[in-house]
Amino acid sequence: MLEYVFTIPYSIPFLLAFKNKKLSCIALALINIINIILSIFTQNQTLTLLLLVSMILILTKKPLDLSWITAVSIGVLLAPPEVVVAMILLFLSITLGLKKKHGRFLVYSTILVVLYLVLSITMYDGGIAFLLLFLAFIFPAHKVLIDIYDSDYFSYILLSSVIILKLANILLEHEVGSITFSTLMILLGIFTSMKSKRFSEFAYSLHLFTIGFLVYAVLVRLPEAFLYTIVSVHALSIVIISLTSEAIGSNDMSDATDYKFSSFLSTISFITFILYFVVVSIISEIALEHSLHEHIILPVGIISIFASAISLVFFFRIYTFIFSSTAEAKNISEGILGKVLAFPVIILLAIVVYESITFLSIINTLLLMIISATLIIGLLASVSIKYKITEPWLLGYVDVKDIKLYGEATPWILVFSKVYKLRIPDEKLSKFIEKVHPAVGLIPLIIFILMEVIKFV
Amino acid sequence: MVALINFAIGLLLAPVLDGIRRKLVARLQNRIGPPILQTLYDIIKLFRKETLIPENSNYLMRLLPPFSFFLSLSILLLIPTVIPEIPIDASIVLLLHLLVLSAFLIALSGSASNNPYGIAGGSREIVLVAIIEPSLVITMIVFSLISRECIVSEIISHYKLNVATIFALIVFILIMIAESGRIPFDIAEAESEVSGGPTIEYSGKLLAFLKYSQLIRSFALFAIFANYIFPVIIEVQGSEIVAYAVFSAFFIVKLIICVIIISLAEALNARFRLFEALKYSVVILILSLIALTLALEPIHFPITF
Repeated sequence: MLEYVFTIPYSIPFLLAFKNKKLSCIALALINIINIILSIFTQNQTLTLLLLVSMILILTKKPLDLSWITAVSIGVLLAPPEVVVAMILLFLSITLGLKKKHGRFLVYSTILVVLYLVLSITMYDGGIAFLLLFLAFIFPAHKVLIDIYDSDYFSYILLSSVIILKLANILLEHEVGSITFSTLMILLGIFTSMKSKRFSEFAYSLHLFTIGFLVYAVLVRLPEAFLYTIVSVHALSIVIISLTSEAIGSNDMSDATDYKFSSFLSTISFITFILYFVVVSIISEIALEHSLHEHIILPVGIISIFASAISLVFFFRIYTFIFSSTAEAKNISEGILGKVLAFPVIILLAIVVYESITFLSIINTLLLMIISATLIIGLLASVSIKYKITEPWLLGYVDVKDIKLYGEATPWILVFSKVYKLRIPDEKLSKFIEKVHPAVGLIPLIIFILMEVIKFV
Repeated sequence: MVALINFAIGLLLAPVLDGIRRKLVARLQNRIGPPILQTLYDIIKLFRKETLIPENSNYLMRLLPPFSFFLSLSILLLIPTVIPEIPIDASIVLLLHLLVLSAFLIALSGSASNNPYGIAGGSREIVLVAIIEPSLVITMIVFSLISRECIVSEIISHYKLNVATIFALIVFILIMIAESGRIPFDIAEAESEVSGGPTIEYSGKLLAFLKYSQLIRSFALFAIFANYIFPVIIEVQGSEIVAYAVFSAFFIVKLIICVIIISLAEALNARFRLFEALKYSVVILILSLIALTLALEPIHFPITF
């Protein structure tokens, strides 16, 4: 029951979100930190993962609708699978009634419900084969999430997605499914991040990446405290991205070149993303050791190491908009949030070091030690170097902004164009389902309720 | 003590091996070429030169070159070099992370100058890291899988020469060529396209740190090849000193082999375009997956459908 107690404080940031979004973000970061410290004494729980995932999803968008979503989400997460299925069916019907472009969302939630029903009716233990097929070939999670972000009914879709996540988790009990799910999430996160041109896209790709790694973390039975750490580091990263976007007053990442961060804020950002890398690398090592010693699926280790290595791509993206500015760039005002950020970053740094020593092998501590030692020596060396400031070696006949945009994003998109061109044939199906009358959506709900009643009787 | 030996060997041999490479490439192209110690002279000269910083750069431009240099140097703590001992016997994961992080810092330092070509070069470097590193990870994990160990010394002591390791050996050679940053893979620094890429705005001590970190990283890869990927030596009866001498001799010979391979690749090819590098990376990824599959054979998967 202790994990339920941990979830209660989360209502504070959501309530705060009514008044001030920034304050809400800070409160969330602080509650995460308190929970990390408290949850050291508890066990790893899948439910906590679900709650955390919902927190991540909720963190950055339209805070005004969040309190009721939170209340219903927590209720749903605690509810039995039958209630969840019924709710999804109800939401499907409402979605049809909204007459908006939620076709893809409808398609995938319908598939998930059908899959659940087939598996539960047939009592087939090998449902993982279906699930693998579902996850690997026809489940573009990113498309559903993009629909959520672009939706006019964000809060409604968000709530539906939390419920779908719960159902997906019921289906994802087998490790193979979890690996496929998390790997997909991580890879989609990486590829989306490199082509993202808007801050919201980048934040969303970070969501995908973190969700993938959270599933890994649960898979390798990491302590609950560590899950909170992942989310806290992630939340901080999102706060930095949101802060940058708000300070610039634009959602376009290329506009960041017109501004420059203070050295204080850029240091905080840099440390946050170093923490991100360390946390991800810790998971990857645990995953490798787990897969070698427990004789489960080996690719989990390899994929996670690859993913953690490639997570540096995120560094690059964050770097290109936080640190790259032209000589005539304006200073970004830090505001209160910028100053407050230092507090959770320092505490998190201490916690990550503590967790490396306490929960995990000495090897992870070594990584932190080596990075810290080389960073300090590098810092001393750089301070000792005398230098002279000169004019930059610039071309003069090419627009700097254009080249920067070309330099940071285009080669990646060109090189991986085949990956980006992959299309899943769900468009036609989406358009077809959108035309269905809302009343038709109620039929499966009625059938389902009747079936449950018959089963009960 | 072992750490100091590794550092000294790395600092000394890294530029010397680059000098040998330059000489070999020159000879292959019917040129006389620079002296073998030329790279070392260049670095010493750069350390004595004035350092210039463009006015629109940020402080990371000053921090990243020494940071990447010391981080590259720290890789030598995790692998045996000229003597068969490891200063810090750590996990293969740590080694992989340091390898990737050092490559990444070099790319990032290019972008720190805020020069458009520096950023373009950095971006190219990142793409190269993203397409080559997965194969590197898989190849190194093959040995971990065969020995069922994560610790570097354990992996080396349980080394077996079989089909999987031979495949991994071939893949690693191909990776070494790609990671060398030389023709045909000098895509990030391409003089004619991005005017030096990551190094464009660097000068003096910072350029020396940047170049030295690249050299040490290459040396670390050679050392991994010599003592992790192909740790085969002929056993000689005798005292410990004799055994160490034989080990050192084999190490040097393997390093020279690495340099010859890199030089041949450089002399016989023109610079790849990024897309050609992608095709190359797909080939090595497939080969590394074959090696992995061969290594997976003895594992029992307790999955039931």
